[in-house]
Amino acid sequence: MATSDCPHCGYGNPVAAQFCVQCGTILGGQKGQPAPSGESADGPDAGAGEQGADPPQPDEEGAEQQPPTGSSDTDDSRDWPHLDSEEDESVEDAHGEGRGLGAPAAGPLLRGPGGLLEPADPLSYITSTSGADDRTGDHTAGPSAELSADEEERRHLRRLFSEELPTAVGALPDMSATVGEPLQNGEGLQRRYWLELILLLSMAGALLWGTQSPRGGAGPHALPGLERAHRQIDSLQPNSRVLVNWAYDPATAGEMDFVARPLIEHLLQRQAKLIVFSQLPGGPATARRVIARAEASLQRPSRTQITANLVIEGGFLPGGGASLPLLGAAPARALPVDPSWVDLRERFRIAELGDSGPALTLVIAARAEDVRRWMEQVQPLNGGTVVAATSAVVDPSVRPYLHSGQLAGLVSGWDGGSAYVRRLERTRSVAEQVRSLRQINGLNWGVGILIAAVLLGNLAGLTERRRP
Amino acid sequence: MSPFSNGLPGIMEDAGLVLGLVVSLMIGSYVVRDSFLARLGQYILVGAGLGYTAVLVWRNVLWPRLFAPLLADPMSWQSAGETGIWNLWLPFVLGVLMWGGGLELLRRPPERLGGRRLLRLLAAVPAAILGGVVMGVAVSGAVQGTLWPQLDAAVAAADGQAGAGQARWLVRFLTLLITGGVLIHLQFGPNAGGGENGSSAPGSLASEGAEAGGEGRPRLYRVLFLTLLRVWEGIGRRALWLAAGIVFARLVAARFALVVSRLDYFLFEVPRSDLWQLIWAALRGAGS
Repeated sequence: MATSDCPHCGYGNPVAAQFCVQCGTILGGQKGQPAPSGESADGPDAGAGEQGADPPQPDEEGAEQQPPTGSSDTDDSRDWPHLDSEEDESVEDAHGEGRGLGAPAAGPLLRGPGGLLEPADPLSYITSTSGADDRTGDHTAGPSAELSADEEERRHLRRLFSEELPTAVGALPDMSATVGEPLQNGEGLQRRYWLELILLLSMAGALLWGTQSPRGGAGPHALPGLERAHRQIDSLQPNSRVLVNWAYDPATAGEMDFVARPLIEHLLQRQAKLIVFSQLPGGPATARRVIARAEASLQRPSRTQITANLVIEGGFLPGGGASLPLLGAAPARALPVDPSWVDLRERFRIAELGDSGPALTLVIAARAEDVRRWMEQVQPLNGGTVVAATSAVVDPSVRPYLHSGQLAGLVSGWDGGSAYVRRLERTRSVAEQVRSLRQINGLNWGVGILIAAVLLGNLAGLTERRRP
Repeated sequence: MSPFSNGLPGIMEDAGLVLGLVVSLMIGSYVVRDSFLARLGQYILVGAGLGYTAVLVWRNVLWPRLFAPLLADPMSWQSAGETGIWNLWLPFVLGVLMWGGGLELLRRPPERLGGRRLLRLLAAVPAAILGGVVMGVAVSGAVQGTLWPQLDAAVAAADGQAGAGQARWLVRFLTLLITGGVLIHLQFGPNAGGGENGSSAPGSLASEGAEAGGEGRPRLYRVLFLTLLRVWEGIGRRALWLAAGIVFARLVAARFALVVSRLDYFLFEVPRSDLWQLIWAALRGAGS
C-alpha cells in the first residue's frame, strides 16, 4: 500500500489521507508525492485502488499482505468520498500548495473535526511498546518493519517540528538541521509549556486567594456604546416585543454569559416580551440556562410567573445567513416555534411581529459574522433598532456599525458585562460580589503575566541578536 | 416552575457538573500525551453534539414544519393552491434528493445498480439551489447592509457631520492619510518608494521608476515623490499594526475570560456541588 509519512509524528498514512490517522496533522499537500519510506511504487491503477482502502490501524500489518477478495463487503471496496478528487484539490489550494510542490503543512495537531474523528484503537494504547516520554505515541514501530527503516529521518522531522521553527507556509523545512542543534539552543516547546503553566497557576492562585485581598489592578471599564444600549433598553415600554438572536453556545459561554445575563435581566426588569431564537444547535439550551439564572436574580415576588409570561422560546433556526431575510420580511413565518413550549396565545404575539416588527432586536453573538449577517440580511429589511452584545474579540469588527448608526448600542466582553451590571443599580448578593472580585483578580494576573512574558521574550530576543 | 429552568432535580444537575469535569479532564489529558482517554473524551463530545443537533432539527424543524403538516394534509397542494407545493412538497423532495446523495457517504452502493452517479447528479440540484441562494443573499446583503451604509457614514463623517470647524478638517485629513497609507502598503508593501537602505525590490514603485528612466542622477521631484510614498506607506503600515494590536488585545481579553471561567468551574462550582462532596467523603472514607 502506498503510504505517506506524517510530517509531525512520522506515521505512515494512506496517500489520499487529508489528516494523519495518528495525530490529526493536515496532510493535504502530499497527494501524489512518492512515499518517503520507499514502501511502494505501485502503478496508477494500483494507487487508485488503494484510495478505497481503510486506514491502517496502528497494530495491523501492511494491508498489501492481505489477499484481495472480490466481495463488495471487503475493506477494498470501501470508499472515502470525502477524500475524493474535488475536495482534495480545494484543500490543497486553500493551503497554497500544489501537488507538484508536495510541501507538508506544519499545522497544529487538531484542526477541525477531521482530526477528532479519525479512528482510534484502544488496544493499541494499552499494548503500546513505546516509551512514556514519546508524546507522539509512536506505538506502530514494533510490528511494521517499514516504519523502522527510516526511523532516523522521522526523528529528525519530529524534533524539527517540535521546535516550531518559523517555517513559512508552503515552504519545506530545512532538512539539513542537525538533531542536536535545537537542544543546544533551548528546550523547544518545553519553554512554552512552562510559560503556560506559570500563566495558569497565577490565574488559579488569583482566583483562590483573590477574594481575601482588595482588587489588584484595573477594574472593568465601559467602552462607548454601552450607555446607548442601556438607554435603549431602559426606554422600552412594558410588553414591548424584543427579538433576541442567541448566537452563542456553551463553547463560548464562559465569557458570553457575563455579557448576556445583565442585558436579559434588564429586559426582564422592563417587562419586555422576549422572543428568543438561535441559529446554533446549542443556542436554545444556553438561552434557557442564562434566562433561568437572570430570572433567579430578579428581586420580586412570583418572579417565575412573570418570566413565564415574558419569554417565548423561538427555538432553533437552521439555514445560516440564507434563512435570515425571511426573518426580516416575515418573522412570524420564519421563526421555528417549538410547539411544546408555545401555546396559541404566544403564536398570536409572534404573528404581531409581522405587522409592526420588534421594538428592539438584541443580537448576542460570540462571532462578528453573526452580527454582520443580521446587519446585512435583516436590519435593512425591517429597519428595526438593533443592540449587540458580543465577545470582546468581536468588538473591533462590529464597532463601525455603531459609528455609522446601524447599531443602536454595543456591549462587549466581560468588562462590558460587568460595567452593565453596575448600571442596573440592583443589589448584588455577596456570592456575586465575591465571584466578580476573584475573576477581576484572575484576569488582571493573567494580563500581567502575559505582559511580563512579552517583555521578557523581547528582551531575550534582543540579547540573542547581539550575541556573535 | 419556569419553562426556562431545566426541570432537573438537584442531584442530576450535580451529576452534570461532575460529568463535565470528568470529560474535561479526559480531553485535557491531551496536554500530557495523546491517549485513548483523550480521544474518548473527544468522541463523546462530538457524538453527543451531533446527536443533540439531530434531535433538535427533528423537533424544531422537520416534524413541526414539514412532516406534521404533510401527514395532516398530504393533499395540501389541492386545498391551498401553489403554496402547499412550495412550502411542503418542494422542500420535501429536495431534502430527499440531498439525503440520497448523502447515502454514498455512508457506503458506496453496489456498482451493478449503477445508482451512485445518478444519486450524485440528483443531489447536485438541491446543493446548487442552496449555494445559489446563499451567494445571492450574501452579495446583496453585503451591499445593502455593509458597503453602502459604511461608505455613507464615512462620507458623512468627512463631510462635517461628525464635528465642526477645525475638527472637521482634522477628521478629513486623518481619514485620507490613514486610508491612503494603508492602501499604499497593501499594494506596494514596505518597499514603496525604496527600501530602508535605498534598495528597491522588484515590483516596487522605486524599481519601476528606475526601470522607466533611471539613467544618471534621479530627479528631485522623483526623490521627493518616493520619499513621500515611503513615509505615507510607513504611516499606513503602523496604522495596520495598531489595528492588529487592538484586535489582539481584545482577543486576549476574550480568551482569558474563558480560561478564568473554566478555572472558576474547576475550583469552585464542582467542589461545592452536593454530589461531589458525597463522592469526596466516600473516597476519604475508603482511604481511611
